[in-house]
Amino acid sequence: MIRARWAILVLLGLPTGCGTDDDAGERDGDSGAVDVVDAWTRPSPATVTAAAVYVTLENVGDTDDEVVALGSERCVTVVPHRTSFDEGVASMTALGGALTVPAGGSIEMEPNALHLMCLGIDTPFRAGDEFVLDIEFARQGLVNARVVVEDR
Amino acid sequence: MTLVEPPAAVTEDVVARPRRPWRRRLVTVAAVIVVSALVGWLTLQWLTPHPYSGTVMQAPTAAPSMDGLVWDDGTPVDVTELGGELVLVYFGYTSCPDVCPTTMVSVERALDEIGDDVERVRVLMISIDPARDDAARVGEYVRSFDPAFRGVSGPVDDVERVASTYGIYFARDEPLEGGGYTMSHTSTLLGIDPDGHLRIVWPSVLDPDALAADITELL
Repeated sequence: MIRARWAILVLLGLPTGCGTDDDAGERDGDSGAVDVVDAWTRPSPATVTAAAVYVTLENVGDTDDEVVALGSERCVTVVPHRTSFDEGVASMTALGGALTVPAGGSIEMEPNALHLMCLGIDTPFRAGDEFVLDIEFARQGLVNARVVVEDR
Repeated sequence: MTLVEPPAAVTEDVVARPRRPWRRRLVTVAAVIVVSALVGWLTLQWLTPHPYSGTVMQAPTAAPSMDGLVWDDGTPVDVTELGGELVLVYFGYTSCPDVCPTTMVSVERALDEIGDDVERVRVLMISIDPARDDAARVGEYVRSFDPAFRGVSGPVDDVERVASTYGIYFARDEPLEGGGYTMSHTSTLLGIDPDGHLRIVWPSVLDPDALAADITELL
């Protein structure tokens, strides 16, 4: 299901490509060089509508690329967030700047650190579920990553 | 003809080879060193306090009251009834997508490691977001991690008072894009020992193995 934000991107003619293709990490076009590896989230308690999704983005190319939009069939919105600790106090903040994957480098998300906030979950994530996470890169275009729900 | 005497060197060799007293002495000395080292190490282990991964209170005091708060079955929380068990107390909230689930999973993993001692450990999460979390909701949340975990909540004023006496800070963050909000909160894990004393504070990021060792030591 393509949410409002994606619909806008499609209307603007951005290279969203195969929006319903759910092959994990499939690239849209030839120019891209970012691989989405190890996308996962935990089972979500029934009462909960927000969950953290963790992905690792590996840029095997020689040009920086930037995440410009995020969406998922299972979340109303997906926002990069960072958890930080100050004297035992945990805080989460939406990532202020761009999410840039440096050339030859990677972004590794993990619990208690950088993660993607999936908001507006209406069906709880069950262990073993898989769902599509849409990541739109500035250069590479759309990547449909497959998120696995598992206990970790 | 004269008799040929055996070479002198051969005679010496035959006499010297089977003796070598230094070799036996070396073995004895080595054995003494090894045994002494072992005894020393064991003594040191016995004398050295357990290296807790949390901060242990130097002068533990009775766990502060939780009056006003209720269990997930609606009954009032009475801290004085918690004696005899090790109680792990976490102040969190159910709309917490990263830190709270990570803590719950770490605690659950630690309890998996301690065998039958788990019968003497109680885990409870107190909501610092009572506007959205009643106790039943917190209970449903924590049971998704372990059916034995318990949820606690209560009126905002009581939650604020209890959190404050336990040294827990919390505040509502800016509204999220798309609605809702998150909370900033002290995310340490507290331990009330079987004598009812607030005894230990574990850091926000837990190592399940170290936590398991600490729990075993505290019981």
